[in-house]
Amino acid sequence: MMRYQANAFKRQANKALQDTTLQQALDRAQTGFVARRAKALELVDDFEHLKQQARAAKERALSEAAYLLERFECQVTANGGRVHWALDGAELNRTVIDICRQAGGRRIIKGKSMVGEETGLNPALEAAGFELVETDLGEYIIQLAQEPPSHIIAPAIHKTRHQVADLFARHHRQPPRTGDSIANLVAEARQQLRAQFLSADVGIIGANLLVAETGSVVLVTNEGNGDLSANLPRTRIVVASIEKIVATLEDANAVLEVLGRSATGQAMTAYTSFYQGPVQDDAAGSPQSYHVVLLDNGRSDLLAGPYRDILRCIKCGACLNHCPVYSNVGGHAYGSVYPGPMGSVLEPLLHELASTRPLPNASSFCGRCEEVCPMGIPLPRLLRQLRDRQHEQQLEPQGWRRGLGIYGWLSRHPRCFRLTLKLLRGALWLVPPPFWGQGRRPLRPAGRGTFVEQWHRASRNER
Amino acid sequence: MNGSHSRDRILSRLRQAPSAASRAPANPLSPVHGDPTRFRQLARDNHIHCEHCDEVTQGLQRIRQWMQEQELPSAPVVSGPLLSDARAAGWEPGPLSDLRRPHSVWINQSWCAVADTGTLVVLSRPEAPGYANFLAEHHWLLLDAGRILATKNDVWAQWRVEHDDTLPPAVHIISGPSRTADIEQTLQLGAHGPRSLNLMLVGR
Ligand code: SF4
Repeated sequence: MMRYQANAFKRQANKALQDTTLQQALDRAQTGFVARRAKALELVDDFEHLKQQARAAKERALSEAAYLLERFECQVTANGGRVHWALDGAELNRTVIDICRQAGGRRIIKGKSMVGEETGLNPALEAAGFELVETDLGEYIIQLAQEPPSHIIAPAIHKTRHQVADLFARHHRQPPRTGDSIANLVAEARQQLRAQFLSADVGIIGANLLVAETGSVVLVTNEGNGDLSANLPRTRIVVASIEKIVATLEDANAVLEVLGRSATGQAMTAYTSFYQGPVQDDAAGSPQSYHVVLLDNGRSDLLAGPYRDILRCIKCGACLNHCPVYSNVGGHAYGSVYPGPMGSVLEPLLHELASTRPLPNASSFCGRCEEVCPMGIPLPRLLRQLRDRQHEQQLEPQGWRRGLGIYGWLSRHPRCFRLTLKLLRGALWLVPPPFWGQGRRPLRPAGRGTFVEQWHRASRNER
Repeated sequence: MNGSHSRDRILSRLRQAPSAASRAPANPLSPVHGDPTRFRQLARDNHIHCEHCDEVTQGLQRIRQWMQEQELPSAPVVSGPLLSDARAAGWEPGPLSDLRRPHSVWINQSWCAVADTGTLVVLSRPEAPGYANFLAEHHWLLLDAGRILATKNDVWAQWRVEHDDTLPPAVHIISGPSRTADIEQTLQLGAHGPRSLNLMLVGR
């Protein structure tokens, strides 16, 4: 499993800011995602209306989550599959390992799954003796690099083509490539993974949605790797968290209307599959064995509380792509599975608040995340609630708490506040630029007098 | 911990949350047809190569010609319902296992299409299992021109009109050939699935 290092955010962020290769990759990624989403939204008459419908669909589902999950289970069973329930990550991993053992296979192919990342499924399977290959190109790249994903929909966004070419050269036993063009790299990965698809015993996939009325697992992809993983092996395992449930096929469509546009700027991704039951194949004879493992991991506790809104998240990644913090430091700096604004809310709720201290503070509260979130999740409000909780539990560093105490006192004593501002302004002139730290601009007081003095002067002049 | 214990605990915790459920809107009753011109435009934007023919045999002959132009080996794999038409067009299609070979071609029927997104809807059936749509290197879909629906919701409405509520094991909604932008955000077609997706519209 990735090492959980959320509390080292500051150090990791500083490192990321000085990594020029990473900065180039992030620049490219951010402009690409943001521009494509903007273009996709331009083509829709009323995106706000689509957002409202998607949000309503998810709210309906959360309001009757228990009933809908039971209905989903019933339908999957009727369609020839089996539903398993996991209270936490360890139980999900154990369940998946048991199914793989019963399947009698050793080779596993896997489609992209953030739930699998959350539970550390890959290392658990490898420790149990299974051979596992990630088949989403981005996931495959980071599996070779032995790194965690840095984005929820584009896991290898931090890698350049040359880094990918080096990785492939080290891991693929084949004659050297002619040139590092992206087309060549994609073709090479295709060739390598083809053999894996055709020989795997078990396929594990994630789910974008679960539909109660039909027992459907909805899988949204562009590469087709998820569908190959779901269909070719004799055993299919779907891992999904419980908040993926929606009531009807129409409700699933409502979410799909906003998912592709917000994620990759596509009205529809290349493949959206609704899986009701195991593969039926005249050529194969016996039916495929089909399992869905549902993960709670603390989500059911969130439903009745003040953080319920985050359960509407459809993992589109728009809040990451538009976040000034994420776009500058990238996903690895967060040291957690889910990065960016949605991760800064979800991670402290899934883990201890104390082990994710910097995350709710890794935000400038510019509000961009809430603006672009297709599910209307009030991310800044949720982050503020978490900050309040941290304060109540006295989790901030001593220096910070003391500083806040001083600021609180000063703001209740305006004269002292103004005097302190004056002193600090004078002190700023005395600090030589090198002390402002590497890569930061020395801040110089602007204009005549403190900000408050300048403000009063300007107001008088206006009058 | 056993699975049923976890199941009960998860469900009982979920039941503790207040439920202010607004009911799901009733499913629309009759499917609405979509604009074919808009459909073709959006399908092309999705990198779907579109052609048109009057009847199935003629369409299959045109596909045969396309395969020759592309210098592809001459035996495609054809889905069950199209087999007799393929034979009438003078073809002896290969078995499903041929799809594992390089340059394979899969010819299948699209159940309907969605004009709003330039999307094709394909059903998984025992004689045409879903994986074939992802394994082939080149994918051809034949679509009855009268089955272009307006939106994704009309797909489900159409299903309910023609069948009961039970869907087939898989419904694949396909909006172009396989693609990836995982390396430097640069779009490449043919990631793991078909490198090309081609549509033959049959009839008016
Ligand atoms: S919080 Fe909103 S914008 Fe961010 S990933 Fe979730 S749904 Fe997308």
